[in-house]
Amino acid sequence: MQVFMFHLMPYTAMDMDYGSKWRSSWVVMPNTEFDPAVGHELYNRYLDELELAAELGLDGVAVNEHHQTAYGLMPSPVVTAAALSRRIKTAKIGILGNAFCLREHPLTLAEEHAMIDNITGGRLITGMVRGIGAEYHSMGANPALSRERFLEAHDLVIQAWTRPGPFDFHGEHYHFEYVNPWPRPFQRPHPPIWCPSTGSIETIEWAAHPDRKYTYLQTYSPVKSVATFLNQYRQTAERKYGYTAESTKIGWAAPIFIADTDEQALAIAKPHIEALFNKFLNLSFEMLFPPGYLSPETARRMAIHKRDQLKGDNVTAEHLVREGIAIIGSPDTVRRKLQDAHHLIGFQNFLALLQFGTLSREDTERNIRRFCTEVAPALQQLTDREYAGWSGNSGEAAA
Amino acid sequence: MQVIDSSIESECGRLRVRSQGSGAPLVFLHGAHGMNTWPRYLDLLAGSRRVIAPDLPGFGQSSMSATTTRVHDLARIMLDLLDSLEPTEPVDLVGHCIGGWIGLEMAMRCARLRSLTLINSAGVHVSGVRRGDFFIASPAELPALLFADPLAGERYLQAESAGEFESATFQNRQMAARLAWSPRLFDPELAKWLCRIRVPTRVIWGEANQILPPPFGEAIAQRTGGTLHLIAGAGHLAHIERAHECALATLDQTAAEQTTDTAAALGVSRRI
Repeated sequence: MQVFMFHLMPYTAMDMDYGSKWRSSWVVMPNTEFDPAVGHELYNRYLDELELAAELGLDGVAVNEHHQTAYGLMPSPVVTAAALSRRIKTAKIGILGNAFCLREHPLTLAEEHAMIDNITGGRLITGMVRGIGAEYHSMGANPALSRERFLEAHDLVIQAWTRPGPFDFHGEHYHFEYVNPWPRPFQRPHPPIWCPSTGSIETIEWAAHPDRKYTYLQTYSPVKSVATFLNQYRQTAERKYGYTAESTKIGWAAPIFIADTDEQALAIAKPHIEALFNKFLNLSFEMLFPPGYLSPETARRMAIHKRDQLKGDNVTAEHLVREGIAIIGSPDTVRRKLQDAHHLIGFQNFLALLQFGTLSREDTERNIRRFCTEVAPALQQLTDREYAGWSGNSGEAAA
Repeated sequence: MQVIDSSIESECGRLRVRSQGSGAPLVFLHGAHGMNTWPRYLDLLAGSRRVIAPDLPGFGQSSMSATTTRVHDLARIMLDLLDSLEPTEPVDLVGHCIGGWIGLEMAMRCARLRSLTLINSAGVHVSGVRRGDFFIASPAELPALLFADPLAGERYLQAESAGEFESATFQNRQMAARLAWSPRLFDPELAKWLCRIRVPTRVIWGEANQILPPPFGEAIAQRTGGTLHLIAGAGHLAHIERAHECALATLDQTAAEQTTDTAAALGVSRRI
């Protein structure tokens, strides 16, 4: 299994009582709340943390993109990845993901990814996402056109990376007379493409298509849902497309915290993991799902089921641990839970969110060291031999 | 008075068209929130006029297609609709919000309108005016955003979006975003063309409109050479909140063009 450290780079100095003034830490929280002196310290601290994980033997590190929010300070994950690309010498660098379709000029991202791929000698992983709904408020991109722009931006970027240029490209949304990026990517035919998602059948079917076979990454989910969606990938490949998906094409990303005992780990992590889910991830339904981001029928169903869950302040660390959304405990507990999940689901990629919410520099560093030395090596040994195999039923793993 | 529900084929598929009353034709184009229920405002107009109100493409029970991505696409389809419904008679056109924007696009391209009435119309932008955002507002926040009287707004929005209309409400929001997400509710090119509008134009505006505050109405009136009629105690959905006053202002405009007695027309409307 490939094991990565994933970072969100939250603004930990956020006023946690912002709820009395602003409805969310996204879109509407004034950026006067951002102190550049804190920003300077945080960026450098977070880059140090990722570099430490790479030094301690992880297969890679990963960053992502969010706009105008205290939840994550990486509107351009390309900048983060570029900052890492010279210091991290052998590990992979994942940009998971970049929202190409938020840009009026997705070619600029294609160029930047190709640069990082060249600088690192082919250690870049490109994540392609639509971005969450809030980005459409922040960036002015039309949520009702998001899916078609996503597909078109993808086609443009793949062509830019693989077709000899110059050629012209005329889609519905993007028009270029000369597509001819210098540099071309280092990797052939192009950097591996990953699709992180909180669970979308449409994304799974698209990623698993034989023309693509992109890696699907399940994020922020109870372990049961991880099984459902990752098995869905295998089932889609098998039944819809007639091939057997490799376990390297599926992955899981989850918050991890390790201390000496389960009780200690929970006690330390509790306020920070709850801050992540209740404060940093506090988005209204309308921010998370602007009109057209989902089909009207899906949006209607989501409104019924999700509106209440999105009110914030209602998730406990105990619940997150019970559901397997976060894995918190002693090294033995964390290792065993991940080995068990691998036995049932067989994913060959795991991304550990080792800093979350307000977790301090000291606690994060200890967490990184313990995960990288006491858990990751066991995970890196796992192959399909330890996987129980797929029963053929979506949502059910073999016993 | 009975509302007749029918459908007509168009380039984007089936369009639902409701109509009511008899007399000279008046076409009403609804706004970003659609028109699931038949408003009293149209009842009042139908007292003296044949009111024709399509569900715009992609809204309510009308289809959309790959060709309906922009406001001027909807203007083209509505011009086609006028030609098939009223091939000869001049038409009074009334539009609210996005419907007003479509009306402006139609009037720019068509000489056969007799008048244009714009209620809280989208389409142009005025810099430096603080505006509300109905796309980010929660359902609980919408009444105070769209109405001068939030309680009346709540009752209306509840009736307009609950139960059988729930699906259409999500559909309408998607279509409104498709057309008007960015630039938000306007086309930067449109203002330059408004001087080409030759038909008499009346601009009706809710004084308490937070989505498109009164300076937006002033800008449209100035560019089209139209008259501005402010409605006190009304927000963005002025024709819902002040149905009678908006109907009077609408009939005043269209009747002036018709050279019939406005008061008589209103007399009919008052008997509804």
